[in-house]
Amino acid sequence: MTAAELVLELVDLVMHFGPVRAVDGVSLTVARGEVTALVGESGSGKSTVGRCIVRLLDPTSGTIRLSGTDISRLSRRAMRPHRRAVSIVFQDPGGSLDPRMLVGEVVGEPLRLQGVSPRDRRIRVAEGLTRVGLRPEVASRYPHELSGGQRQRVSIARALMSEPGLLVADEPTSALDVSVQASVLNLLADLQRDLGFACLFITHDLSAVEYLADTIAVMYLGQIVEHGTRERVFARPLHPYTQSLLAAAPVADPGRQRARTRVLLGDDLPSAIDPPTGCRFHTRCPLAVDRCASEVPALRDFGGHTVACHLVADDGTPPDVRAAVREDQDRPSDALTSDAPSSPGRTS
Amino acid sequence: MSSATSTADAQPAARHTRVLEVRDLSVTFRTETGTVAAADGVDLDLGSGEIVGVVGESGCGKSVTAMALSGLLPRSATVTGSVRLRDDELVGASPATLRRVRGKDIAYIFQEPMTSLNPVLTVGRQIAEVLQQHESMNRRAAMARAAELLAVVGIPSPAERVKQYPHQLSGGMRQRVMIAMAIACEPAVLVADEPTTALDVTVQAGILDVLRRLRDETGMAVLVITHDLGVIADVADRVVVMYAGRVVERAGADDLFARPQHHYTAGLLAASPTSGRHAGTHRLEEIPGLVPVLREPPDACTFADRCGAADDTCRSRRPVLEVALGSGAAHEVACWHPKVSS
Repeated sequence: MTAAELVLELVDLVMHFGPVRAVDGVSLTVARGEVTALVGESGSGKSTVGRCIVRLLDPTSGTIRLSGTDISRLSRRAMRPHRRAVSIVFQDPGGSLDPRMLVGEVVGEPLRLQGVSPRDRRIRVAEGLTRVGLRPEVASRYPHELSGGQRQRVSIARALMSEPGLLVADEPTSALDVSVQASVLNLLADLQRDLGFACLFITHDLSAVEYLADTIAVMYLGQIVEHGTRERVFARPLHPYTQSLLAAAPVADPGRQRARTRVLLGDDLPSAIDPPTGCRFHTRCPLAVDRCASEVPALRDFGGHTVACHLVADDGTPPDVRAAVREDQDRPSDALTSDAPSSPGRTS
Repeated sequence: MSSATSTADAQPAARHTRVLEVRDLSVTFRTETGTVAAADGVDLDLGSGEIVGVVGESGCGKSVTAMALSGLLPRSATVTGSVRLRDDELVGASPATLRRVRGKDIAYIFQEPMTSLNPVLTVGRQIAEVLQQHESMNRRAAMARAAELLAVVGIPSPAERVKQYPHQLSGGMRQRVMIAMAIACEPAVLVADEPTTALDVTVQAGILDVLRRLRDETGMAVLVITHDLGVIADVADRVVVMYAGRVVERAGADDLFARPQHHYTAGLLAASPTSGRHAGTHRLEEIPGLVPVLREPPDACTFADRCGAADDTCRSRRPVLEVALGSGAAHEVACWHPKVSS
């Protein structure tokens, strides 16, 4: 893949907030027209990555390239022409839309900043609102007059106004009800297909990921631990953390849900101020061996599916968290204490 | 673990005896712009050792119903109907009765544990306070019991954790503390209102596990209120589906997911992305329109405006919950044209 086909290229991105190492060496590429999901628990640093990409945050170090241009150290003024290349949609449209601006002003603002005339703005705002399934008359309403789903459509319309090559969508459906969520996911899928923008879909919702994403990057404590196509990550997750995440997400089918092996990781994501040595996941990993605590695992590539785990064999055979947990459950243990040290080789 | 066993001994063969019986429960709120009907004729039964899920979207009345059970709603709410908790009638009960019942017979956990915990007291003190109030324990015994309770809900090193403040704990740990507090007096009914909504899936799995184990080990009845069908599939034995303040369908969990009969239930299930579906080949079903805010409960199906199967009957007569043709007695639906299941 040539650099020109990459809409986004992150190289060793680092974002520290004082002692907090929120993002700690993330490298990731998103190709033109591709939907990449960035998944992980709260505190994994996935939203911080998104905010660095749109330069709401100034990264501590590392490189952010948008369609080949390094924007990681551009001043605010120098950044301006590049703002059109990338947009962001946030989780809570109630909080991200200015309550004193009419919907039409909110959606038209990117055009106003580009110097588009008021007359052309009105036309394009009407088009933009229609495109996201809203009536053009909504332009003369205030955000608070709309429902949550409608507000999220407004922020999507605004984000797409400048025809960006990349849309960063940070938990766009997490605050919405199931039926509304479905319509916003459908909308994003339709728009993405019709307009062809690439999307970095930041979420903790794995079912939405499976619906929307082409590729999936899994983050844990500021680092990417696995990256691969949707089919491969869901069919054969390599990293024990990815396996645990998939095992923990309940499926809406009681029979299948009962039959699944539950993997309980314990509640505490370790502190990003003083992350664990070696593999950062070793303190919660049911499979961890001594090496995991002492040696940082390198990202290894198995035919386009990358993973950072010592326990993945050289031929790409992954370890099996569920099998280990099943064995564990056969033994008498302090069953309620999910993070009791119960696995062999666990270092403490 | 010893404490959990002792509670199990206290209620040995109590499985599935009815502990909570809600009949025709209605809640209306007075607002500046008139009254709003938030719950309308809700019927609900809960047996000991049972986990019942109440599912619906925001505005369907599920939380209002839960709060109304023990008089937790503000004064602007008018509650009618009947809530029987063992031998007590709670609708219209005296403040003294409600105080006695809350905590001891019915306890709650809510979505956001941080706002329910006192930030300036250690978690041990907060749990101990419940025990000192309701069980007349002395402080020393109460603190010892608090540590035991933390162990029951799966908090490691409970002896150290009792001395910590809420801000020193993770979200999942705080929710476990809330559960410990709620079960301190071994209530017959635990109401969990969106207990895992603010939590990550890995943490959620642990919390749901605690609820399930408490039910198994103590025979406690649990009412789980959630918008998340995955949570329902994970823990509920029976499911109550609410829409616009009314119960529209009731069934065993397996039956409900396999053969939904109300068009709203079917719509909710079809709207959820599930494994194997991708936008390239599938489309999520949308339910057009919004949950209505009702001033007056209409003599009609409240879902009619959003329902593809609705006709004049649906718009002019209110359907009652009844067993649909061809289904078991435990599956009831309030619909004039229930979905025919194969």
